[in-house]
Amino acid sequence: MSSIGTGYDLSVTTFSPDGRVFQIEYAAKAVDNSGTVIGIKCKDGIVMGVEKLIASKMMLPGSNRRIHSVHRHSGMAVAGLAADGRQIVVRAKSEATNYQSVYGEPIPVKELADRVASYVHLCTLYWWLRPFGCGVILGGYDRDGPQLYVVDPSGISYRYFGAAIGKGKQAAKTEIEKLNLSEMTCREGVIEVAKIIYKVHDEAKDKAFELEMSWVCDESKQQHQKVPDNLLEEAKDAARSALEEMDAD
Amino acid sequence: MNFMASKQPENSLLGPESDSQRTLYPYVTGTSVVALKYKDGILMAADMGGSYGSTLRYKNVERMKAIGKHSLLGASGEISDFQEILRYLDELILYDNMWDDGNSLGPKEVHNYLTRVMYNRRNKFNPLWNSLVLGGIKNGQKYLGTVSMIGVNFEDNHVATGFGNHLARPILRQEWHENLSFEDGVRLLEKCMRVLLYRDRSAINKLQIAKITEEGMTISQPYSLKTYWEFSAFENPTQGAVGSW
Repeated sequence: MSSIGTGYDLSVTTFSPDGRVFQIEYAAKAVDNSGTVIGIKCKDGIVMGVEKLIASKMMLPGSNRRIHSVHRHSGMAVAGLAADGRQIVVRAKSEATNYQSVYGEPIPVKELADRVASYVHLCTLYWWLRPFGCGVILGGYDRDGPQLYVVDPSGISYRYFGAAIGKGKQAAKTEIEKLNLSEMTCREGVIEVAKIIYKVHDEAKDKAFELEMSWVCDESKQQHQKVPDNLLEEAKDAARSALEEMDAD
Repeated sequence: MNFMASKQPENSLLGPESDSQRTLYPYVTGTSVVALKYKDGILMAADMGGSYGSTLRYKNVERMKAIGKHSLLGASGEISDFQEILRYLDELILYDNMWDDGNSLGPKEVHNYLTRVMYNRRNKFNPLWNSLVLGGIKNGQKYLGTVSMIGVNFEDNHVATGFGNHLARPILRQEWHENLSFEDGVRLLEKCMRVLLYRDRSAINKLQIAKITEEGMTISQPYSLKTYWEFSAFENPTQGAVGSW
């Protein structure tokens, strides 16, 4: 749906005649150009995975984290401009700690998503601010169970049980729809997410990538943390062999 | 006559700042905490009393808490200030955990943080009215330190707060030695706590002993010490006293 909005796209405070704000749409394009980010809600928790496109072979594996913990029980995976993503994460952390100190309990995931979305939306209201060039997948586990939200640069947030943003989002969404998420445990979910990311990774356009995954589930005691190394390796192996099987056909 | 009485004391030189409430005296207080290093880590003892002046108002106050994976904090003094300190530390540990980088704050770092907090509050004439004991073990290194409400801090092989300074430390100086076993450490702490129970009027006979080792922190269920009151010198204590009736 791309069109040049000549004249109506210079400022985020300008509507086009057909009711679009082009700056926000351009911001969304920044998200579409970044590596795929996937989140799924399994029976007992959330799994998130990021396809981190490696710009240079000199980069240390494990650096440039794209998934951040926002509180003990929730985390965020960021797609798009990394520096913008950092701002959103910092703000989310501050909202979470503030809620805890005022209300004495960890921030409900719905409330956190609302606050993050409001903050992102804020930057679409003033001409001296530019919209955030990043989308965020927020996963958390509170007393209403595991929940998954996506916030895009326009400031909209929706709740999902499976979501993908970034380059391979269309292909990833198709794959996620094939999964039976309500019966899947997070352990199985980790393997599935790895398989999907390896599958949607475009070997031709982007050479190398690093897989980063996190989960928050009953097994992790409802704490958001990086997927344990041995499980991550198991997932990567399963994903690579699934790819080979496909190529062999 | 000004009916809108200002809260500023007449001899204040601070101007509008003195309108803010500054801690003048503690209200609900805990008494001594005693701690020592032993073979596998740190042992700490504190009773469960919260005094409201001379009344022993609360008898189920846990004055020792685990901080992160590696440290144990015990406090005497104002209980509400202790709860505030726990809130600060909770946020500190949370931010440390969120880095998710395989590293975590050890007892030395937490002790330093507490020292800064206590000293800075003291400089604003608004102290957190506590004497804190911070012990822990990280990567095999044992650490035991203390911070007072005016920011005096040091580390040692055995520390105590409040009355413990006067009654427990002499015992510890005599009998503490390197590589105490767990049983010997508990026995030594119980000896100190028993003296405190006899001689400190704000002590109660319901204490907990906490230990922290590489494996983590465990805190005992509350229990009481056996005491002996049949010393012959205390029978008929007023017998020889002049002017007693």
